[in-house]
Amino acid sequence: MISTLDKKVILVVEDERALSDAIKAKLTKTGFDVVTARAVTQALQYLVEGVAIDAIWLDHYLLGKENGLDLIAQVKEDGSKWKNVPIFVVSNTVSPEKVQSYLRLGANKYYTKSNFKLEEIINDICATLKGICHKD
Amino acid sequence: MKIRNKITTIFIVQFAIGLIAVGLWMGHSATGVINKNVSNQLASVAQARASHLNTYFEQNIERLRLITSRTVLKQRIGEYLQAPSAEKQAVLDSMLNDSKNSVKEYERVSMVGLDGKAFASTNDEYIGKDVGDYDFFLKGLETEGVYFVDYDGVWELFASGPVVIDGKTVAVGVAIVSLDTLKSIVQDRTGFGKTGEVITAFQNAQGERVYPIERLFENDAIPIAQQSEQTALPIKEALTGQSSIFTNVLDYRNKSVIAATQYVTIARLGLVAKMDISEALAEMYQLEFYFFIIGIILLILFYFLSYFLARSITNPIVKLQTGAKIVGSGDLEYKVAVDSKDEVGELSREFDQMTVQIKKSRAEIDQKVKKQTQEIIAKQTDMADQQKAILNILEDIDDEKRNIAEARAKDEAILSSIGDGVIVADKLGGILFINHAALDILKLGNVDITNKKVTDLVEMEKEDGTKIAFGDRPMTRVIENKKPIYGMLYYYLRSDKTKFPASVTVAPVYLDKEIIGVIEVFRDVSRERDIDKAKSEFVSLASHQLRTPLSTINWYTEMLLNGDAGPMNEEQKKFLDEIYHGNQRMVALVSALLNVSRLELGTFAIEPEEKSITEIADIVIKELQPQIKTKNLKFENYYSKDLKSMPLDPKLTDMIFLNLLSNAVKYTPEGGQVKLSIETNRAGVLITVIDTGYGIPQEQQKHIFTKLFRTDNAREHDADGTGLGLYIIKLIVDNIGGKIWFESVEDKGTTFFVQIPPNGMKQKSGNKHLD
Repeated sequence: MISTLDKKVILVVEDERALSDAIKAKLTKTGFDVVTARAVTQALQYLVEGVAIDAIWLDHYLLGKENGLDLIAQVKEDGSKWKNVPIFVVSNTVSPEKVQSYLRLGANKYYTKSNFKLEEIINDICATLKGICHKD
Repeated sequence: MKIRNKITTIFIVQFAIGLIAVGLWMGHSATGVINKNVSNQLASVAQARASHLNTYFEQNIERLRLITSRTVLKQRIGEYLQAPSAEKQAVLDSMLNDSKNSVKEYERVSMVGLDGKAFASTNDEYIGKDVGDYDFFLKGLETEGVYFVDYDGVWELFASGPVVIDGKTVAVGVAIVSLDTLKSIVQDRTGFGKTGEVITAFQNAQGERVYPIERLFENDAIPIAQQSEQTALPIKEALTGQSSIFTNVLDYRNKSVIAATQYVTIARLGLVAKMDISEALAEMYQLEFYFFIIGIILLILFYFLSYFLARSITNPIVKLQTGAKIVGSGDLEYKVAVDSKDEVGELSREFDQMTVQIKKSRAEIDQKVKKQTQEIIAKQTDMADQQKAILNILEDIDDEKRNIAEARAKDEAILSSIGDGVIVADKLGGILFINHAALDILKLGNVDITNKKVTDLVEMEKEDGTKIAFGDRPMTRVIENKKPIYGMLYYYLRSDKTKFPASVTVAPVYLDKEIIGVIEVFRDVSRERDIDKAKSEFVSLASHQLRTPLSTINWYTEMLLNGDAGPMNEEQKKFLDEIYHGNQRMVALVSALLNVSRLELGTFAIEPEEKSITEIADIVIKELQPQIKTKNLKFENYYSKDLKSMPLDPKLTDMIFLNLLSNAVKYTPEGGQVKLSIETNRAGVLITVIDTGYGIPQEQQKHIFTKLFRTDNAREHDADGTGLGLYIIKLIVDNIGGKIWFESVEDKGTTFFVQIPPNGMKQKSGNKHLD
């Protein structure tokens, strides 16, 4: 068993409840601790409150006026404490301009939501964090 | 203006000028003469009066001397002075009374002692009065004289002289002289008119001017205190002892007068004889008035005179003019016959002679014309024959012309009725034709296109707002390259400087294999672009919305299949597999539809980079390896060695390979063969994909590039296809200027060919990208 102390924490930022639940279930099953947010302000609150986040799972369209680009811009800005937190953007908005924007701002990878399995994305996260993931 | 009137006017004006000049000159000299006469008259009057006064004063002095030199009186005075007594004084008083009575003008006679006090007088009140300060006393000690004395506004004339006994002056005799005689001398106005008068003045002890005799206009006199320097100038001058003449000066009333001055030496009296200028000149004004009346009468007489004179000059001219008019209207028999011996008579005779000459030469011309007409008639007959021949030719030409006109009318009708703007121009850009639609679109109204160039009427811009010079306009490029341009996007400027995007097609117009001009067809695409934008936004949103539930299905199915929610039995797994698979098809369909919608708009971007085409092909092959392996296909690829990297849009190229190869893999049965070859040819780079698959049924081959079309056998063998793959490739290939075609035999296999142009893909800006 993996001890709670060793567990990595993933912040899932996704506005669709059903998808958020699926992601959380799969990540938890794989061995991560998960916190979820549906809006940028909510996500930033976790960071500001000092929750140790190891990676961020980020959707583009979110609740509220701000979208994923606003969040990544703040997290990755110069002098940010969380500059090194890897971000995985998983969205259905796939215009190349947006993809380019995310990668330029420092996203680790961009996934078209409907074209990837949860398992594929989580494998990438495991590899990046060098975490021990459950393999069924 | 008629000559007659001109002459009359000139005469009258000249006469009037002369008359006015004479009048002015006469007025001026008359004024001078009258003024001089009056001045001289006044001067002599002044002189006469002055001498009259002198004589009068001398008489007075003489009378006084008679009194003071009387021996008896002197004796009595001597006695009285030695021992004064009332008795002696009474004797003296009665003696003085006698003397006074002997001189009518004396009002009072007194004797004044050397102490200045009167000791005897015809008037008792006067005895004892001290007159020691007065001139008449002081000077009277020496000699006889007359003196005007001013007693606070009351003045009197004194005569005085010494009483001498044994060579010594013992007393002064003083007499007050009545002013009556003086008044009658001064105020005599005989021959003086209304305003003429003589005035006199002396200066009193205070140096003030005093007028002892009342003046004619005493009421109008300006008080001395209020007088200006110019007022009463003559009397001031007279008091200085001068004899002068003033032709125009102000008197004591501030009136303009003519004046002459004199000084009456004995009594130190200033004298002025004067007369108002207005009165002096009154006669002259009268004269001027008569002169004016006479002038007017003369002017009227002169007018009639000059009128008749003018008429006598112009009458023959009028006659000549009337004659010329009659002859001019055609009556050559008419004679002017002015008989005078002057220039006009000469002219008229010449004119009559000329009429005769004209008549003669006209007769000759008539003769000639008759002769020439006959010749012409003869020639006309010849020409009629020639004309007939020419008419035949003309008829043929007419027919031809009509045909051309019809064709032209047809062309113009077609061009005019087209909804797109059409401009036809010659090689230099001169407009030959512009249709109504173009005028409307460009808001040019009914502009006159004659001698106008296209650049005069229509400005073009690039999307960024830079002007396109004539040399860069599609029209010019077509003339230079001799190749048409289709559907290019440019911005046109309307006449009100607003701009709109337009799709432009330009084609050269040939005559005998030579370009003689161009035809430019353009269409305002701003609405299309708006719709296009709205559609693309809709598609983008719709695809996002569609993908979200698809992702939900995807991921939950994935978890169920993984046993994340507990173990599945085989049948459940199989069902879930179907769901998962169906969902994956849906995802693919959404992506494909999105791409199609973008491609169909024709506005997606082509962004070429220098790429090796084989590298792109290799990546696709690697992606397809799992399927190739599963179906146990034999895959071969051949790349010709002379392939070089070229400008290619990686995404579009990838899409071409992926669609072609996945189709080949999908529709080839297990153990079959798929071959990819990429080689250079004359038309650029040729991609060939050969498979030994199910092939395309002959009767369905013509639909193969149609949207959402799937052949029967394809649907039979694979249910997953979207029916969009080949449609998408066709759209891409058409857009990059390439070609796609195929050969296929059912159950034998299919070969697809894609021709990429030699220079690869050309940059094309657009706001759409493909997934």
